[in-house]
Amino acid sequence: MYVPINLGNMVLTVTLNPAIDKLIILNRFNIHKLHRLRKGEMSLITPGGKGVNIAYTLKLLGHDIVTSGFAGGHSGHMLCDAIRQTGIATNFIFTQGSTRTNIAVLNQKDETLTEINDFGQHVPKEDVDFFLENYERLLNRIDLVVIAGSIPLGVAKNIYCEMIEMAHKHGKKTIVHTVPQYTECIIKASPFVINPDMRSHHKLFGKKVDGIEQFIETGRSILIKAVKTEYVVFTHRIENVVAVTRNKTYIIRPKDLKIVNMLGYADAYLAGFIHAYLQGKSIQEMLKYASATGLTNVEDLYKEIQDIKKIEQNISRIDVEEVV
Amino acid sequence: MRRVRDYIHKDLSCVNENSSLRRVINTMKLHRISAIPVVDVMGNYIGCISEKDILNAAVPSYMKSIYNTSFMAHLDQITSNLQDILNEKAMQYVDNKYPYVRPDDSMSYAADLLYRTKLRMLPVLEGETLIGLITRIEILSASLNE
Repeated sequence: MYVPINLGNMVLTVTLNPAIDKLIILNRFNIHKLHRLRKGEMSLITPGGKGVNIAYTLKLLGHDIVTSGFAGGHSGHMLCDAIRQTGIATNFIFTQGSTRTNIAVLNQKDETLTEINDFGQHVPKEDVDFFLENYERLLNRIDLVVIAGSIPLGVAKNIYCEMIEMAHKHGKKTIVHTVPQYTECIIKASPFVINPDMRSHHKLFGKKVDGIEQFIETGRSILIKAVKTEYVVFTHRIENVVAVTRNKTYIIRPKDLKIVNMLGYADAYLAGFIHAYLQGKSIQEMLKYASATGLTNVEDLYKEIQDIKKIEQNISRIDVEEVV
Repeated sequence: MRRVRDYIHKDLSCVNENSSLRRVINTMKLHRISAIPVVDVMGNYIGCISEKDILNAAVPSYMKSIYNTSFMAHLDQITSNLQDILNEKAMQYVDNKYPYVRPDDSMSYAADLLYRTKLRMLPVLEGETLIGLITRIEILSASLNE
């Protein structure tokens, strides 16, 4: 078993709406049919939710991690047990509801991925208050905060803003990866890195945002509004990742991409980004490392990277173009 | 030697000194634990609250002095007392002499402490910071994978 080396940075990842991820890998998938798994097919159950996935990869890369959010019921205990088995510390607030299950069906023959994500548990206000109290305490012992994923039912849309502002008061940088509707809310709180999750909605500020030109234009306009933000990264198009910084803009392209499973790609990308940033790599090296981590993830069948040595090997397959 | 640091149950669940007993009981119930660490605003460890501490506060002193309370089977005083203290602060009931272990302590020391005190879990502290727990099952399973 690979034993990570502790790099001395403590990262807090927050997943307000975590999940048990059930991935079913089939050779053929048809609706209105009974499927019994056969040889060569499989069903995997892993802890999930964006912040949890990021925590997994960061732990593999040698960081000390504490992960927080809301959990509940038997599935919540299952989630926390599985996370702790990897050596990550858990600090979830348990509520009356149950942690959701997200289902993904990977059809190997047709190379299609179908995902069904549940709503998740409803979180009452007193549990939100308890979570924020707990979160503020955690800020005293960590170096960096990663906030990722959706917001559960019952929780105010501006909670990410509140969390970013609390982190800033404690002098801690924040990295946020969430869907456009929450991305728009967090701009005034101005986190260190904004990574919009554009998988299901390609609109930001009411405008379609897809393709290099629009990513660059939107990234630059976000940086004007979000005065403390240093990076806006669009990872949605793996073949053309766009990173906009205060001084320069970069397009990052992997060579000879062989996608096997896109599940968890952006989470792996962000984990690679954070690892490289905490190691003090230059911007170009950092962006290369992040893309190599994402690339390693999508070229493997599993949601999590199995062999971190492949990341270093894949760096040479990443091209970074500087755009004026 | 087997050290505590290699067997820590890395659950940082805890309550604040200002949390209500309602929150404490609810957290213990949902987390399925019989005692929970209490920390201050900075996250420094203060002590633990166990189910026993809360029950102890709810049992009237006259009942504690009676050898057998079976003749009072129809009284509802303890649950009613519990209801009355639900909004009180955790700080009032925390056991600040609750034993703890350090990561460098041996698992035998932790086992002995659990055995002598009849407790189910011990907080693990690094400085004043809670870094996890050692429960009876961590002790029992320490040798399973070797």
